[in-house]
Amino acid sequence: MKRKSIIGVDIGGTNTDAVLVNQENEILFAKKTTTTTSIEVGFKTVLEEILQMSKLNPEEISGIFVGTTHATNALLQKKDLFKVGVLRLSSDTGNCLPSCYSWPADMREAIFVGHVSVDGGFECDGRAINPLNVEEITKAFIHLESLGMQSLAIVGVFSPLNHQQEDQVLDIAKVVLGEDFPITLSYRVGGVGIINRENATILNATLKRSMKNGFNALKQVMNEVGLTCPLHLTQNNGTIIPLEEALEYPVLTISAGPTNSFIGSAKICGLDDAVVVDVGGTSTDVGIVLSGLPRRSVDSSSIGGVSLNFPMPDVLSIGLGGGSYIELNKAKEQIKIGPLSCGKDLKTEALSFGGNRLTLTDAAVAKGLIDLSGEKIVPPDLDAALVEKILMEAQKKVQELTRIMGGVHKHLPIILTGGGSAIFKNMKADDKTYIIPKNAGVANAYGAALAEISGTMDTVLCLDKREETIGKLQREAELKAIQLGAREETLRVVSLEIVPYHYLPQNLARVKVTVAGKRNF
Amino acid sequence: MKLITVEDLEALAIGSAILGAGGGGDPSTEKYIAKRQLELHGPVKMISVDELKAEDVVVPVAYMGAPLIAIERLPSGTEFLNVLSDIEKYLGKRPTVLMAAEIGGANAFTSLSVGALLNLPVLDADSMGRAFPELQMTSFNVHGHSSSPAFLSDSKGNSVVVNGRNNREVEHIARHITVALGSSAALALHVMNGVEAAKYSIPRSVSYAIEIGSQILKSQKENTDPLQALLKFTEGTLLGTGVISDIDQRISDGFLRGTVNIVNVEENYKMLINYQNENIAALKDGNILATSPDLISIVDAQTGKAITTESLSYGLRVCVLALPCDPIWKTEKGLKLVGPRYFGYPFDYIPFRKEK
Repeated sequence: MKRKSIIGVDIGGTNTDAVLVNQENEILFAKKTTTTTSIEVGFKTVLEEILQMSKLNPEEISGIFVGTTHATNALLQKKDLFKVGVLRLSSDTGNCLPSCYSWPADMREAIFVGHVSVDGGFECDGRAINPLNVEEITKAFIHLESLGMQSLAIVGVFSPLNHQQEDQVLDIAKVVLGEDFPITLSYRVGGVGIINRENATILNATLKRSMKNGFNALKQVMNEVGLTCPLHLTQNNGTIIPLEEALEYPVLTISAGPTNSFIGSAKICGLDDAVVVDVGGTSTDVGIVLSGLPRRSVDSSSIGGVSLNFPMPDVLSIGLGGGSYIELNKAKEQIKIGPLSCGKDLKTEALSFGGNRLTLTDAAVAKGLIDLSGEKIVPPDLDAALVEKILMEAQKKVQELTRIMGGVHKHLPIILTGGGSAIFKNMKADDKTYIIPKNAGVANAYGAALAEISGTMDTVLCLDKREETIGKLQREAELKAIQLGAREETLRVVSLEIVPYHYLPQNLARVKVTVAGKRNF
Repeated sequence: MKLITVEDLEALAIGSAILGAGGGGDPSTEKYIAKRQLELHGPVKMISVDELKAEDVVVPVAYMGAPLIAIERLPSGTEFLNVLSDIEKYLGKRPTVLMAAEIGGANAFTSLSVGALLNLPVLDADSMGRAFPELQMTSFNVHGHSSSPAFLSDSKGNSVVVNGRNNREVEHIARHITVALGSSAALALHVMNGVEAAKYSIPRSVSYAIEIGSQILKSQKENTDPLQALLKFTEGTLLGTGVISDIDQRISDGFLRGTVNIVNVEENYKMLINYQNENIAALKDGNILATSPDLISIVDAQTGKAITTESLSYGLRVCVLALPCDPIWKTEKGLKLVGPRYFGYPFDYIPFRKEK
């Protein structure tokens, strides 16, 4: 039997969702369950049910694509993390700032044991600042181990330009620390900008523990249900990496949640370009999808207060969702919606559920926007004019975000998704189309199922022969993608960043090119 | 005399980025470097130009080179040890006061980091009142002071003393030396006595940058419009607002030149900003609204945070501001050094019109 279906899975903090899609990217079956403390339980449930509903043989599944917030949650909850030691190949430079200097103290304490700066690193023109000193490096490793290091981050000056030294240090580390000691090389996780790249390297090093604990179990589950196809994880840019690579580079998956939500919502409506409004219980996220991929954030991204320099989806968030508390002044003239909300306690606190707090959901229920059939709800006794006013106020705020996010793309359709999307289903604007897709609840899993395969090259080049040089780099990125299973004829450049290094006569620039294409399986 | 403490640094970062007028580099890394030095060595004494003594040896300092190099190959903080010992060796005088050569951007922090490290006071002044791309674009030069000898050093122990025929040639030679030193080098030039420094520098630059930053921080805290606070304080004006729709940039002769297009869909107008590291001219539907040497700053529409030319990006929602430059730049000599014609534009300086 020919393999032809993909299962997309979204493992979130609350729910685990799965969809089965065919080669035409149609959703054949969808399943939702609760995420348990060990993520493999929900994973097993959805896989078994999908296989049962579809009556497919496991051999007919050609791949499982998993999007997850597992790594993000581990960081935010500081759970299941390795203690990280940092080796800087920076010679005399870089001693002015210790590692993790700008981090929030609690993150630093949970993760960082210390750093040692040794001879090494490169100048921007590729000259070594100093050659490596094996004895010095060996001593540094022994010192870091004595501080309690469980995972090592190796960060060399200008390693995105020349990674020879980081590779050499890896070999030394394996001899000193052992073949299986977890090690992260900085050039694999970020580009030029040593502090932010080091941050990403340290986060990666610390996350290896929770990823290994969480995801080896997923492989086991696949065996149990008889699935032999490859298991991939979706990464920040909406494309996939094999599980083995995700275990080595978990930091590449930390913003996959919103990425999958935005891509999935657009694709579920058959759109390549759209503004996506994800209305949750506490907050609403607005993003934009262009040519099938979320627009990247232009400001430096950060997680848990740690700044990073790799692309994350551009998201505007507002503390306004289905569970947002509504506060009125005495005359009921001024309305304040959120940012406080009842969160997961909607069903005990909201008026409609017999609670005593007025929430945005109650206004929507009173207006008849939400049909919670099967739930025990009491439409609250609210003044119709007040209900109207509350809903208008909420709409105004969400519309403002979509307007900002849309920018020059003011013609784009707007997709409402997420648990609270019904609140805005009557929203109107001059020339805009609002869409609430049927399967909005599994948009994340669908986004994962549709993930493409990409290759990225990020380096510093002399642009004297601009076209030729960039063309060569693009080809290298394409070969990377093909190696991972992309169909060559579908590859296209999804991002090309050229940042010239000014003040300097050599015409140097940091060039980062990413290509993506459809999978050949 | 007052003390610069760790608490002043955030405001200085915000203010100096705005005074960068697109150039000078994003100061966020340098802010942390200075913070670290202040934590290790204590607050830095800052004196006003009135407190200078005639016999003071005042040393204007900066890092020269591409901001994007400096964020990878961080300064070690020790480069200036070489520079200052070279000064002493060469001039037979021991430096007594440091000052920022350039208040706009990352170099606002250089004199503070070095001052903390070497326990030297810094002067509340600079030589630009903003950022400019070339070394001869200083108030010192307007007053005819020679930048030679200029001192450059890397962190590995290489250092060079430049004696140029004129200040323009010092710029040219120093740029090549900077490349040889790893494309980012510690620099001191225009070493002068207290009388000269009081006369030739632009006073109160550091305080002014901190005050600008404090205005923005205060309005963020109070949830009021940071831009209004900024404009009121600086007597600047809002030239326009919109979304960046196109960026065309290229490198020529070592400078980042380009244009950025900003579209306002609500009010249906287009803006065009020409830049050469720093923003040089702002046009609205073809009309010139502001030019160098007035400061043209592009800031994030929501936060008021300045956006440097290297972080301009498609889709950003921005405001374009014009802020008045120091009066010295509006003199004939000043405009010859930094007016739009110097940067190759076929028009003279046009003062921006302040909206009511």
